[in-house]
Amino acid sequence: MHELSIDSARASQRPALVKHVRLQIDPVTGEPVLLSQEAVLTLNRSGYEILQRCDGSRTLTQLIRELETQYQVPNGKLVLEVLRYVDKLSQKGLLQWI
Amino acid sequence: MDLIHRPYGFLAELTYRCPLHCPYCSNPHKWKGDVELTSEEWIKTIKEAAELGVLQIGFSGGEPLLRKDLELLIRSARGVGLYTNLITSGLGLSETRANRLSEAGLDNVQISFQATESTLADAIAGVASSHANKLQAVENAKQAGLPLSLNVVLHRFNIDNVSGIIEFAENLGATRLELANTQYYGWAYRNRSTLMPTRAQVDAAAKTISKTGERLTGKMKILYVLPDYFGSRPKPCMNGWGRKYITVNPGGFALPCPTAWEIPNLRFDTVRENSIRWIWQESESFNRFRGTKWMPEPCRSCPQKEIDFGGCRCQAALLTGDASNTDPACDLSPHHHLVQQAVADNANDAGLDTLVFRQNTGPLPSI
Repeated sequence: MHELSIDSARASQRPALVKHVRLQIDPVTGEPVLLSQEAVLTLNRSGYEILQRCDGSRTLTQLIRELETQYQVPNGKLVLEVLRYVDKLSQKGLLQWI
Repeated sequence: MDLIHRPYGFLAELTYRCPLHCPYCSNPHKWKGDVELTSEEWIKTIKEAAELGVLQIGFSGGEPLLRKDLELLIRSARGVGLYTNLITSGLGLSETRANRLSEAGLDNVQISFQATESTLADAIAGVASSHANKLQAVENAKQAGLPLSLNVVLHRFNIDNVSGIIEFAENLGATRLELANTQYYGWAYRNRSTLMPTRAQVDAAAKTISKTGERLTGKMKILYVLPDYFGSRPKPCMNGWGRKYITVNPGGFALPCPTAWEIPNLRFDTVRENSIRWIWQESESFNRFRGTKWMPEPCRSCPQKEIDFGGCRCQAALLTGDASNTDPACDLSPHHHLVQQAVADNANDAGLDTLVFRQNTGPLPSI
């Protein structure tokens, strides 16, 4: 199920947070949050790890491989989770592809 | 006392001075123009708000660009980690000013528009060339690299053109469009019968917005502020009194919502004399309608009481004379007929010439 290859059209594109959002740590809770125009989105740890890397410098494939290396999981294991996450953020207009 | 929540959003109303005269302005009718907080007082307040848990600050007014220390205040807000939004008419947003705001670290600018073309827009704003100035402001903001959102207040004279307004915002490159039905407080209350659309207009607009919203998913976010006079349940005003938001007005008075100033017999404390933390946690005004214990019937036994928090205190005060009543926008309120009557009585044939325009308070600097 999770050992998919990255055949999405997004694979070679570079995800980047849009200009009006900011990723930071909530000083009260210590949890990561994504701040945008009028919303505060509380992130879980894996969301934070993904979004930290969405700075337009790496392709989606590179991003996924980097996470798999860091968490020492087999190639392809995180594809589905990451794809779903970045798609959700794109739908909300918080992530763009360059 | 109910659990004390932290505030997430802080609205800094820097001044009530404004170059526009919109007949739906939510600023108070009467305000002394000479008591604005100083830069030092704002900086202290911003720091205290961040320490209390605030993550976002909106600089508003009146017209916040009239404050020459706006850049300084934005810089100080960014310095304590806040997300900064400027809520402006756009008048006074020159190329130089836009660049300075961007350098100060402004995260987003929200510009208000009255309509999509200058004849109606200038008539509503009560100022010649205001629309053209706003278009220039959008250009200046974009040149400076500032992310842009738009706000348009809807009423009987522009609501039929929502699809045009959406297209207009899209063409200007906005990432977010707030379509806010007029809320009838302050000046808007005085102009209620002229500004209020018909039910058919409201229904048609809602349909158009939901259809267009899908097409724009991921491109431009549309926030539609519902017209509560036409609904059956009240809006969850401010997501609950003293629950998520704090407003400080130009005189330094801390308010649970921007229009709370006009609630009679409620005394507010100032950030000149108290810390934001004390006001949020201890003050009488922030605790008066916090939680659900203050609620009368029908709210007290209502399963929706944690969802809409009894609606809007300002509206209850304005329409029933008692801020602790259930919001008359709720069809369970014994005062709901006041809202129904207002909808039935709207003056469908009244023209723009019947509007009472907002008067300015305090000296108006040239911009």
